[in-house]
Amino acid sequence: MKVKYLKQHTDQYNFTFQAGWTAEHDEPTGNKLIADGICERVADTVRPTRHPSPAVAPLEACIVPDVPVSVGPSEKGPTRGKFPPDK
Amino acid sequence: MAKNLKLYIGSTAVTCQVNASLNMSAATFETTCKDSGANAEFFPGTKSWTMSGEALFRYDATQGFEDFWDAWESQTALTAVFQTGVTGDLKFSGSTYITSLNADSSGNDEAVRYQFELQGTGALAKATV
Repeated sequence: MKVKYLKQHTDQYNFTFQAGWTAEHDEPTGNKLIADGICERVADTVRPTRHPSPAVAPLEACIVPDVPVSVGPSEKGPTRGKFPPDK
Repeated sequence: MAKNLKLYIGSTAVTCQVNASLNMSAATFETTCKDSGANAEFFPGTKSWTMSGEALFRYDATQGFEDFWDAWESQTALTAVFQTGVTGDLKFSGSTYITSLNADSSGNDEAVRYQFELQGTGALAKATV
């Protein structure tokens, strides 16, 4: 059973796991760690690693704020809002 | 079962294993005498056992080459378990010392591997996961 550590934990063999690490344990060990709130179960396809998995960036993180684009008098660039009336 | 039968060091499976082996042997001494007739006779002597394995090399492995190196360097005993980790299955475990640790980086397009051998000291215990 593969688990992800939610907090630091030192096992009976004096091996210390840090929060964010993933590891594979036998079922009784894994179930006890989960029941004690030390770990959460992860997929069996996960490769145990000492690196915490990177947080997924929210979709909104890549959206550019709505900033009006100014263009010079001789340029016809993209504008927002109404076109000025023709003179 | 082959995918699940692994070597664990303590409570943790060796990360990204490729092979895992458990080997047991028993020495014998000959007790043939004139009363044995035409057949040689032997008596069992001391038993011994080893575990060995091979895994892909990763610097960030939870239980990997660095851990084996540390144990080899400090000559620390490791509890090795040969098991599936599935509740109800048999497991075989005991105390071991590292007798061999090799890393192999062959060619340009092959995964780096390392191999380890563990010499059992004392009894090899059979139990249920």
